[in-house]
Amino acid sequence: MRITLIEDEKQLANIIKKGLQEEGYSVDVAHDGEEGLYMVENFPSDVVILDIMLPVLDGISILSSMRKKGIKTPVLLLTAKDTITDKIKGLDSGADDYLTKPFEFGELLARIRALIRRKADIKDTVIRIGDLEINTANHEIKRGGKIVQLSSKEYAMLQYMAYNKDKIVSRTDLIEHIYDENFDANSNVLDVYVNYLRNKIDKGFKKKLIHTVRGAGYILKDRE
Amino acid sequence: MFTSIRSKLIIWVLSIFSVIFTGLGFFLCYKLEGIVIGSIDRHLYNEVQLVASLLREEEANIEHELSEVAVGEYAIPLSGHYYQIVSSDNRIVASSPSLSVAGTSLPIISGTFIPSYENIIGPEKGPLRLMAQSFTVSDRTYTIQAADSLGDSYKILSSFKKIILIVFPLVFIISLIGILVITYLSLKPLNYFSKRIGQITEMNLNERIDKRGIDKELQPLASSFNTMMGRLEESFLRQSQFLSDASHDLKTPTSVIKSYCDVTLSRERTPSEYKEAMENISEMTNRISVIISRILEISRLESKIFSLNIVGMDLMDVMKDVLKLLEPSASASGIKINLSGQRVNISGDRERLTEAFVNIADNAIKYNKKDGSVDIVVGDKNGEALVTVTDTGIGIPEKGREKIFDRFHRIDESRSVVAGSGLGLSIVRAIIKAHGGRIEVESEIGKGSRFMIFLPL
Repeated sequence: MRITLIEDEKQLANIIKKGLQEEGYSVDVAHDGEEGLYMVENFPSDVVILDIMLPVLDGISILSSMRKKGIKTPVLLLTAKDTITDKIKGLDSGADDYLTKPFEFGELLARIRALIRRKADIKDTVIRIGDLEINTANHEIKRGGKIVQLSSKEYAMLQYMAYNKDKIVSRTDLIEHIYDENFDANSNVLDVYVNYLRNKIDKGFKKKLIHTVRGAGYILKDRE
Repeated sequence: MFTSIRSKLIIWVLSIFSVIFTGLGFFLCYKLEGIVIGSIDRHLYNEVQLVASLLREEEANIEHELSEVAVGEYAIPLSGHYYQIVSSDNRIVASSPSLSVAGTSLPIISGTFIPSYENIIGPEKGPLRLMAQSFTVSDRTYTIQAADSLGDSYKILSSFKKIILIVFPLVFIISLIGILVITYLSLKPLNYFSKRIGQITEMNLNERIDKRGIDKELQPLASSFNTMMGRLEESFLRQSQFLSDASHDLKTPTSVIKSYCDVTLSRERTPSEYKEAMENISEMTNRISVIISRILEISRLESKIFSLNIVGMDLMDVMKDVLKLLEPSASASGIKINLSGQRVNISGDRERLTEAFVNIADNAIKYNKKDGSVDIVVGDKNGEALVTVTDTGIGIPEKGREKIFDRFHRIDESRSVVAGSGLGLSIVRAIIKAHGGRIEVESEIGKGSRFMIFLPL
């Protein structure tokens, strides 16, 4: 899952980025409103974390402008403005959630997961595909009741495919939602990771869950 | 009782009315009595002259001639209209039928040739006005007396007095009611004011009194009330804005610290990761303590509980100190500072003034463009010391120019471009104000700003 973080306070942006990356998200950071709006309009992302007080262009303007252009990405406002009026204004401008600074990092993560679930229209934190269980809250993966250890990139890949289960996920989709803007799309890193994932999820099981759709991409499904 | 406006008014009006009405009543009664008596006197005089003229002509036949006079009321017994002629030996020679038929007479008075008047009780037991005058007819002196009843006149006078006694209290009562009504009506807005003032809390400081419908005399009160409310509201808003700004400014570094703690503690870390987290936390703690100490300083400056350590100094020397303090950061940003002007002696708190000028010059450096310059000129103008600090920086937008001295105001919301707490210029203003001076700003976007600091010589 890819997150766009628009926050002008560099140290705060750095630590949030680090925390999110450790949770398997890929993070693009913008330090002012203009750069942020450009990123939101041009890079795919699953969640936007947006500060309100930003140089050049404020958060509410970014929000209104992206909603006007029909960009439906969930937006979480992360701001020091904590009055009810600010919250109402933020949510009415098209935000999906509102978190005030200072915040509990765990709460930020939980709210991001909730936004992703809502976007994928999944209510349960545990996604099940056959005997594969993906707990999106604590990142625990079980296949046939046994815990499978995944790296954060592998997890991110599996989670993205799980949120889109039974649908074909193209290479581009995977690259866009798992890597940030610095990823070199021409490399074969993706294929390597898909292979790692296959080894951990499907190896030793009769029923394969990760399938390659020739010329289109991959699909995570239980049925044949 | 005398503390109430209404009772004071009532007592005042009562005294004025009593004095004026009593005086006027007495005066009018006296005048009316004079007019009435005067007309009776004239009538009596004419009567006496008529009788006297008859006496002169027919000495032997007085009574016969007098019969021409003795008609009308003079013929009715005890009618209250009488005359009689008395000889020099006090014998009644003749009298009007009103006396003679009733068999009575007027008290005999030996008159003089000048008419004399007096009030007596007449034979009919009523008050009479009596006139007596002597005349010489054929070497004999007669006194002619004539009298008219005063009854009717006294009736007129007494009914006039009655009217006064009824009308004046009536007028007084009506005025009293008028006073009560007017004082009630004019004091009513005061009750309204006191009610409104009593209702003021921090929740409704935006309330104002509508001046329409308020008596003209009370409109200044309404205006003052509204002005006062405006000031209260403004200062209250400033205070709450200050609080919210302060908390907002503290939230960002707090968030950084909190996030470093949360993220770092979320899993096992290497010593270098802990070190990095601690470094960041330490930096943010420094930022928080700078903000807090500046907030405290402003509070102290604004609440005027600080004392200035007044000494004589040369502003030029102060500016040289400022230059020394800022030279390193200026050369680091490639900005040239020029100091010119003359020696100007003022008195003030040297340390605080240095702090104020450092703040202003520091802003001029921070908000300058690359390879820009800052010109500081020391001089005097119209009896005031004047320091101008001119930069070649980004300028201040017109709409924000008034606000730059407000606490936490930043021209740009950006914190990362320039690490200011937004408190510097409000500290400057507080210091300059405490010295009895003022600051003016001129600015042009993209070209730069000029701060002019005036201080009393």
